[in-house]
Amino acid sequence: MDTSSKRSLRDPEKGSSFFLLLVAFFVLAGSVTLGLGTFGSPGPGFLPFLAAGVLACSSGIHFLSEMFSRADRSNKKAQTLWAGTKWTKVICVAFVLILYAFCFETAGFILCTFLLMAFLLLVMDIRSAYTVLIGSILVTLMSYIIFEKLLNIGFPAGILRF
Amino acid sequence: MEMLNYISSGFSVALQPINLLYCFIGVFIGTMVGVLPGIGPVGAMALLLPVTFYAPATSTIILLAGIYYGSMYGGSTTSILVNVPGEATSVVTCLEGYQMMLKGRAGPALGIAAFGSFIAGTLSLIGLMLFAPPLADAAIRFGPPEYFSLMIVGMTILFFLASGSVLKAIGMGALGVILATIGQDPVMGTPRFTFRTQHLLDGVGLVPLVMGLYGVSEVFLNIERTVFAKVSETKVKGLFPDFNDWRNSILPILRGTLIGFVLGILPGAGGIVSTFICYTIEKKLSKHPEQFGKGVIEGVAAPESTNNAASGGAFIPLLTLGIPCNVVMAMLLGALMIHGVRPGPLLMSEHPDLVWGLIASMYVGNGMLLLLNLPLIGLWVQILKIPPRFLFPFIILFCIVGVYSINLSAFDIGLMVFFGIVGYLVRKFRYEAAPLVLAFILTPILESNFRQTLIQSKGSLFVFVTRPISAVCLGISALILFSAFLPIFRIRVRSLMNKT
Repeated sequence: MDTSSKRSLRDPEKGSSFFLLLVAFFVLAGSVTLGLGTFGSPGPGFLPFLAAGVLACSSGIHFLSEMFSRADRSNKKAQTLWAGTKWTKVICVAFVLILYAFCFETAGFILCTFLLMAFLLLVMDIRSAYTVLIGSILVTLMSYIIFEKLLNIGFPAGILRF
Repeated sequence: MEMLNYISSGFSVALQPINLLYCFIGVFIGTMVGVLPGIGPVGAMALLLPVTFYAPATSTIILLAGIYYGSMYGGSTTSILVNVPGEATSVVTCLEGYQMMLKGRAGPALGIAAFGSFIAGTLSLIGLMLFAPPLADAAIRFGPPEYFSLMIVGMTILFFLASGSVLKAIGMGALGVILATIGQDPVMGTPRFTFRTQHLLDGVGLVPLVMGLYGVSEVFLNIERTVFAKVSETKVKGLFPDFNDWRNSILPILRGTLIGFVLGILPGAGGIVSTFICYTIEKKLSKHPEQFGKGVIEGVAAPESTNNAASGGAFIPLLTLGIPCNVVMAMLLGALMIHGVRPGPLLMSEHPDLVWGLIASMYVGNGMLLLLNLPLIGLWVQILKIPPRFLFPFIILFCIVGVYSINLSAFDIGLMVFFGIVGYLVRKFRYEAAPLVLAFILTPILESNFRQTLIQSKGSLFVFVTRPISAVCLGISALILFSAFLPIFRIRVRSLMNKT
């Protein structure tokens, strides 16, 4: 067996449990800072501390059991989880959605949603520029009329001022 | 006599025009999400949760419950026509349903699925009416220690929600508790893990969390797929099963109802497990077991009845004890809490209109579903033909509007996207989101009762074992834990014995 791959964190099981272990340590440290209190008067950090302890134990045991597992895991690398998938699209969509959240209040609902819809339709392999343009305009306007004009949600006007 | 009074008052609530409308919307959307592979009832409930903020609590629960049992009906359509389960509990239906479709018997398969679901759904409601009130009466003397222990039972249930590794489920549950503690401490008001941002002072909202974990992540998972299932062009005709079909199906429907109802009460994936058990039993009892796998109607009738009966049974722990036995029930619990209704032993006495209105609405909803699923089958087949690439932008837009409408905060949109990415990675790395959501919803009740008990008992932990109900609950939790780890110990012992 390839020892380096056995010890490597590129194995999805080991990598994910190690990440959760780090999260647990972060929360444990944060809970102590918040104050654990006593059994008679538990502090704000009491419950997060207990939960982080459970998380540390479960992920730690999982990590160690994967580390010392005798099963052949040479082909189980994180990359295999994404093999044969269009994972770049997921990254693009996630990035654009984060951008949408950042620009939403400044640029406004209509502009942001139109651009988002056009992007999503393009990502969904709709080739015709006409369909993308008309589709995103229609969806944006319809959602604006329904949610803003009829249901009065109160979307930000942004730079278009409506 | 008292029961009849409750039922009649329940029907007077369920038959109010507004509740009829919510019931219809619920079962319609439920059927639609059941038909469409990908977004399941939990995703749909997450999407609709913000809409329900403007509705009364009873109408909200009627709507959300309608989505749940409606999806059980709809799931069979996709299983039979596309060989892809529209819903997790319809996996078994694919085995015989699709084979029946290939033989040109899609109509009777869809018909018996709808009739079987109706019969099972109605019978399970009778069971719900009979079992829920005595259980709620018994649980009426609960104090903080009992509530805490009850929540511990709820938490340990997450081990049963694990279809894979128990350790991973425990980890996800712990993560759910940690996420629920973000925000101000309920006793002292100290900010916890807010990263000095005002937006997190009120904590992480349930809606951004579940919309991200189920709605956005589902879109991410579908975007990366390269191939989508295609709908058969076969025309669906002859929806009414003939005499022979009924003769072969009626006993499997009744057996499926009983098994589904009993297993539905039990925590975890009762609905899914019961369909497999029921299918196996029918195969064993059949006079022609060799025909199973080649398109026998019993193989459709039994699992479809089972999953609908299980959905009725699953309401018992929620309505009587406030324990959600699956993630759908956890969503219902969350919705009730958002509306200021505290589920638990007092729910039936404090809000009889809500509980009995819900039960009565389920009778009405089952009737609506029968009408929706038989004459309108053509509509569902057409919906099934909508290319997913047109559907996903709408889901994203709906998520954004839904999450923004609650607090008018763009931060919540960002939070939802964050949980969408988390949900995507969770599923890629074969973890499960259900224990996280369950723990997230139960933690506020658990924490307040735990701290209240400790303050009252001056720090003594013995109070949890000296009070009988609390001790029984903790004993049940210990049993659940033991039974969850038992298979792992068995495997380890066997491998050790094999080595020696």
